[in-house]
Order: sequence, then structure tokens, then C-alpha cells
Amino acid sequence: MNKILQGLTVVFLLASALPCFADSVDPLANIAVANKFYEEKRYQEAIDAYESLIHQGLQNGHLYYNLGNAYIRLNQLGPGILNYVRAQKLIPRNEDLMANLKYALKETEDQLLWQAHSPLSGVFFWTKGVTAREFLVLTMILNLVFWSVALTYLIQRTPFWAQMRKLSLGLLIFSLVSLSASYYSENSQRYCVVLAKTVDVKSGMGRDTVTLFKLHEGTILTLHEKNKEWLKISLSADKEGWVPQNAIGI
Amino acid sequence: MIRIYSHLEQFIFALVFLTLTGVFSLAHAEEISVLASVDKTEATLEDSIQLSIKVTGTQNTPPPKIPKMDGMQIQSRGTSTSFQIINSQTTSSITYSYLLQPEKTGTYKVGPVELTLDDKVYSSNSIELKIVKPAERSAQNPLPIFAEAEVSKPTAFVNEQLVFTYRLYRRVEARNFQLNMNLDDFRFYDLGEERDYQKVVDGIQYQVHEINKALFSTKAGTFEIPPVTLDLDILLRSQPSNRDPFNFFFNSNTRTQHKTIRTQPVKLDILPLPQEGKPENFSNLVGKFHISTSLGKKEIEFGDTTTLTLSVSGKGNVEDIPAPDPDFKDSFKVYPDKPEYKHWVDGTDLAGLKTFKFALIPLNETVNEIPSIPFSYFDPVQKKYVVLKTKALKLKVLPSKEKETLNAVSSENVQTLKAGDNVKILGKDLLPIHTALSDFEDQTVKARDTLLYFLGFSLPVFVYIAFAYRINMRLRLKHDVAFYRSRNAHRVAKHQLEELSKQAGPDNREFGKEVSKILREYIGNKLNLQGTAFTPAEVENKLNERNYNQKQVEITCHLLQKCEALQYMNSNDTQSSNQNLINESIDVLDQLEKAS
Repeated sequence: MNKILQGLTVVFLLASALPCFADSVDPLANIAVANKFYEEKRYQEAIDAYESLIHQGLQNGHLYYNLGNAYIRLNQLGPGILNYVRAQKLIPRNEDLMANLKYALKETEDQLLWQAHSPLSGVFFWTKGVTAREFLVLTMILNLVFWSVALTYLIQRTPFWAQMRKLSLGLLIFSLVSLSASYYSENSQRYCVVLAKTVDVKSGMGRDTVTLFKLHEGTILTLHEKNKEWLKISLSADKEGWVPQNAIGI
Repeated sequence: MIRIYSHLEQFIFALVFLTLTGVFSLAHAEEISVLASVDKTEATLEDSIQLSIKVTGTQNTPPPKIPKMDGMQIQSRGTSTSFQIINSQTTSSITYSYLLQPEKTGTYKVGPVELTLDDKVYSSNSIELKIVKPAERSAQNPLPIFAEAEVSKPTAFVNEQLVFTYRLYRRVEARNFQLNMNLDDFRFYDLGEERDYQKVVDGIQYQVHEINKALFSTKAGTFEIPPVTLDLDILLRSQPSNRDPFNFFFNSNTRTQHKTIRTQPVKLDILPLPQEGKPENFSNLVGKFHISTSLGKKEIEFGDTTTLTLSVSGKGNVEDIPAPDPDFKDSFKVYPDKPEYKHWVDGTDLAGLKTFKFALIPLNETVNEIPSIPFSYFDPVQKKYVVLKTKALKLKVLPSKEKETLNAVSSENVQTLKAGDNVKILGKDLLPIHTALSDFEDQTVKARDTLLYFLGFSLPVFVYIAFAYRINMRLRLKHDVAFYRSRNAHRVAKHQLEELSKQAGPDNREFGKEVSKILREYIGNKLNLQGTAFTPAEVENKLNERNYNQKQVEITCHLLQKCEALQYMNSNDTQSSNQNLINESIDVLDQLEKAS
């Protein structure tokens, strides 16, 4: 038992030490610089600075939001909306983001409003607007609560603690199910955005196939299949087809 | 026997191998030729022609190139291969089958079909096909199968419902039906189930299959509904041969003939809706409709709500029934609910009911009725617009039971809301960027996070298991005497032996007695036995009962016997022999403890 505890302590210490290596470069100074560029209306420089941070591996919803804003300011609706969609995955409840996305979509030629949805969102409606990562943290907390209550029940076998144990187990299972649903939703539904000014949606992979309909820059599509040069996309249940990959941002 | 069989098997395998390699090498050396053939050279628009391209001399070829023919559809129907050995001469071939479906009458030239193999082009013969119109149906020429398509009337208004009917008449057996109905220029809905019935046409009874669709044209103009095509296989039975008993089981007298049955195109004139008399809020509703209203509570307190239900039912483009927009001006605040819609088929008409519900909050106490709501549609039978109005409904608004002050606040709120509604939006802009640096934490899932999540989930489980083990152990030691004795037996016995070894020079008898006692006490504690008065034979039995190792049992018994013997003998080297006995006893105890 002592050996197990020793092993766990080592692992814990290692985990605590990891940030020292991971966070060796502080990106906050660069973000402040990029934000300053934006405030000074030097949008292209702001875009370069934000893109550089993303290229270095920084993933943050607010960063994508700011980058989206900078693109929209330069009237580049496609990349702007694409970055809003990316931000939406990380900060789904941010009201500024939703307002700006709605604003940008109204500026597009197709003017198709969009809302992230998944096949499970009807049944697991409470998972809407909560990320899988947030559910993971919640599940971890409930896991700690459940095992603490279970331990207390071992020491004090009273009806109260028996009820508490059942309740905490129920909450843990509920959170686990929500986590699975949220994870599935995040990974099953992928979106992409039209970056070209106009794109023809084809009935198959090939320029000589029938053009089903046309889409314009900034329209958000659901991505179904990725081929070498073509993407299978859909706009709604009855509007789907193939588009060349170079006209679309994922 | 087995050996002979094994040799025979090897011989057959070699023979087959040699035959096949020989055959393939011979086959490769064959002359390659391409031959095109059809099952018939003259056909009607209803018929299909079977085209076979036979490539002789090889079986490994790419598909041949068939020249395109305007007005003729070509469908691949797979391949078949053949291999023959006649008088040491081998012939291999592959046949590509196609189905030719004519769409226009005329003369067609099939081929020459080209096949490219090893950079060499092989050409087939060409075939001339003659496609004629199918025979007209008449009393003198009753066709075995034919179809017709019609619309309920040739001229209609935009959004007026028409009935498109397709009927297939047949008096032959058929299968593999594939219907192709192109109604893309119209909005269409199924009008009830497809029907099957019998009908006599020109004195001959036919099996009729009927499909009805409700059609709506959304734009004016002259339209032509293209011919409805039906692909099917007709079953043809020849007279069975009584001599062949297999016919009875395999029905080999039946063959199929592929046919494409076409209807005539249907012409339609769609008229625009007249501009004259068009109501102001007309919403392209065409048909015949009724409107009715009902009110939930007819007496309400000021500030309370009542529900106005408005039902529109009728025949026509019911799906397009618009949501009425009651203009109650300053009398009510209106909150519309999601409308309910259901539709059904009434004879040959599409009928439906749309129900709209509105929650109404009176804006002042003087309100005493719900004004009538206008509703308009175009009646294609009377060829005029009809404007309906609901009845005005009486409503009594009572003063609120709440205090006057509360009423005043409520009233103010309504006024504020109204004022807000009148604010004119002058422009829209993006919301600003986020600048709080604390928001920009990296959200990537890193190895550190994964490790922390793993620990977060596993650590409570390990801690629980460790505590549970300790708590259970403590409880067992407290309540289970046998477990308590067994668990402490080794420690107590070892301690006693060590204490005994420290005592200087006890005499042999006492020493042997003490060691024997300690050992028997240990065994008693370990096996939860009462007392310590066991003989070595009894110890052997007890240890065997508990499935101890036979060798350990023997060593233990031998040690006990040695202790007993020591009690009755004198030894000169007392000190060293006692220490040896102690060591031996500790070894035995350790071994028994391990085995327990």
C-alpha cells in the first residue's frame, strides 16, 4: 500500500512539474500587442499576430473571436466567420461571440443563420452550450464527491449517508452520460465555412458533374466527408453536395 | 492406404496445375476478336435491346468503348466468361452485356465498338437498329400493357390544386417495377394510397394500378409534364414440356422481357391570379377556406391573459395558410404561440386545418371586445377573391385585485416597452474584441491535463480502497476471534521464542517443554483450536485437514517430537543445541505462516 502511495506521489509531483516545461513561452505579452494593433485599427498586423499565436499552438476561444473580428473589419467574411465557428467550440456561451457571428452572417450574400446542433442535442438538451471539457471537470468533482461520501459511509453507516451515497452516485452517472453525449456531439458534428467568393456545390466529385446550387463567402456548412480534393457538405437535410476543398475553410 | 491417397492427391493437384498453366499459355496465344450482336434489330420505343460484345481470345480486357447514340440509353448489365477445350483446341472469351433503351424513333447504328488491349485497338462489326413507334391501342389491337397520365383540368390558376393521375393497365404478369415521374416544376403531394383495381377496357379486363398526386404550380405559364416512364420485366411463359421432370421444380418455361412503358406528355396552362379585386394582405392562398375564432376566458382581470384561438380550415394549398397578424393597436399586447397544422385527403382534394393561438394581455381596462380579424383567399371555382372576417368577441376586463400602486407600475412597464419598440435602429457594428488577458489561457488539452484528469479520477478510488481495506481489517480484528488469533499467532510465537533464547542455560527438559508449548500455542491460534494439549499425531491430522504442505507437516511433527524427546534426555552442549532448536522452530513457524 505504501508503495502505491509513493508511486502516486511521484506521478503527482511530475504532473505538477509539467507546466514548467509546457509554459516556458508566455504568450500573453503577444496577445496584448495584437490587441493593441486592433485598437489602433492596424487590422492586418493584428491578424498576423493572432495567427502567429495560433500557429505556435495556442488554442483559445477569445483569441479566435478577436481574430474573427479583425478579419470582419477587413471585410473578409469567410475567414472571419470561420474563426467565430472555431471560437464557438471553445466558448459556446459567449454572448459577444454569438452577436458578432449573427452580425457577420447577415453581411453574407446567402444570409443563412446558423446554430451548432448535433443529433443528440434533442435528447441531451442540457448539454447544449456546455463543452465536453467543462463536463469532464464536473465529472471529476462529482467523482471526488462520490468516493468521499462512500468513504464516510464506511465509517458512519447511517441512513443519511446511505442516501447521500446513492444521490452522489446518481449525479456522477448523470454527469458521465452528459460528458459522453457532449464529447460525441463535439466530434460527430464538424462545420466548415465558404472562403471563396462563390462556390458551386456539385452532385459528385468532379467539375463536370451537375451544379446543384451556389453558395457565397461566409456560409457555414456541415462537413460530412473529406476526400483528397473534395468535401461532402450539407446545408440542410435536403441540400447536400460536393465542393472543392480549396474553396472551404475547416 | 493413407499413403496411396496422399500420392493420388498430389498427382491430381499437379495435373490440374499443369492443365491450367498449359491452358492459359495456349489461351494467351489465341487470336483476339470482337463481335457485337443484338437480340433484335427492330424494336419499338417500349422495348429494350440486349447488346452483347463478345471478346474472343482473352478474358482479361478493359470494357469496350461503345459510341454514344443520341436518343438511346445504354446500361451495363455485367459480364460473363466462357472457356472451352474441344479436341485440344482451347477457346476463351468474355462477353459484355448492355441494355439499350430507345427514347426516340429512327435508325441507329451500333458500333463499331472499340477495344484497346496492349496498345492495340480491336474493332467489332456494326449493327443497324430500327426503332419504331409502339402500336396504338385500339379495340382491334388490345395491348397487353399500357399506361396513361392525365390532370384533372388542363387550365388552372397559380397555386390551384390539380390532380395528376397515373394509371398502369396490364393483363400480363410483370415484376421489377421502376417508376420515373418527373414533377420537378410543381409542388406535389401524395393524394391517398396507391390503388389497385380491375377495369374493362374495350371489352378486355385489365389489372389497373393508379397513383394520384396533388399538384400546385407556383408560377404562371405553359407547362408540359414529361412522359412518366415505367421500367418493368414482363414474365413470358411458354408451354411446359411434360417430358422434362425438372420443369415442375425449376419453372424453366418462364422468361422475362424488359419493357419501358411511357405515357404521353401532359400539357398544362397555368393562369396568373387576377390583379382586380386583390385584397391588400392576400397571401397566395387558393382554394376554399373557413375561419373561426374562440376565446379562452371571457372575463379577465386587468393584467391577466386570455387565449384567442383562430382556426383556418379548407381545401387547397393548406400548407401555405399564413399566420394571421391581428392588428389590435393599443388594445392588446399579443404573444403568438406555435401554430398547429394537420392535413388529410378529402376525396381528390388536399384538405387541412391550421390552428393559431395568441395570448392576449389587455393594455387598459376599457377594452371590451376582440375586434374581427380579416382573412382572404382566391376561389378558383368562382374565379374571385373572397375576404372573410371573424366575429368580434366580447371580453370583460375587470379591475385588478392588486393595489393601485402596483397597477400603476405595471402600466408604466407596458408604456416603457412600447417606447422601446419605437426606438429607431440607426446602425449596427461588431462588438469589441476581448482584452482581459486572464481570458486567454491556453485551452489545448495537454499531457499535463490528461495526467491530472487521470489522477482526478483514479486517486479517489485508490484512497477509498486503501481506507476500506484498513477499516474492514480493523472491524474483523475486533469481531472475528479466529481471525484475530490467526493474525497475531506468528508474531506472538516468534516473540516468545526470542524471549526464550535470551534466558541463559535453562535445563533441557524445561526448554524442550517451553518450545513445544509455544509451537502448539501457535498451531492452536493459527487453526483456532481450544487448548494446547495436542500430540504430534493430532497436529499432523489438523494440519492435513487444512491442506498444509505434506513436507511442512512432517517437519512440524518432527520438531514437536524432538521437543518432547528433549524433555527426557541429558545433553552436554545445552546452549548450542537450544539455540539450534530455537532457529529450527523459527524456520518452521515462518514456513507455516507463509503457507497459511
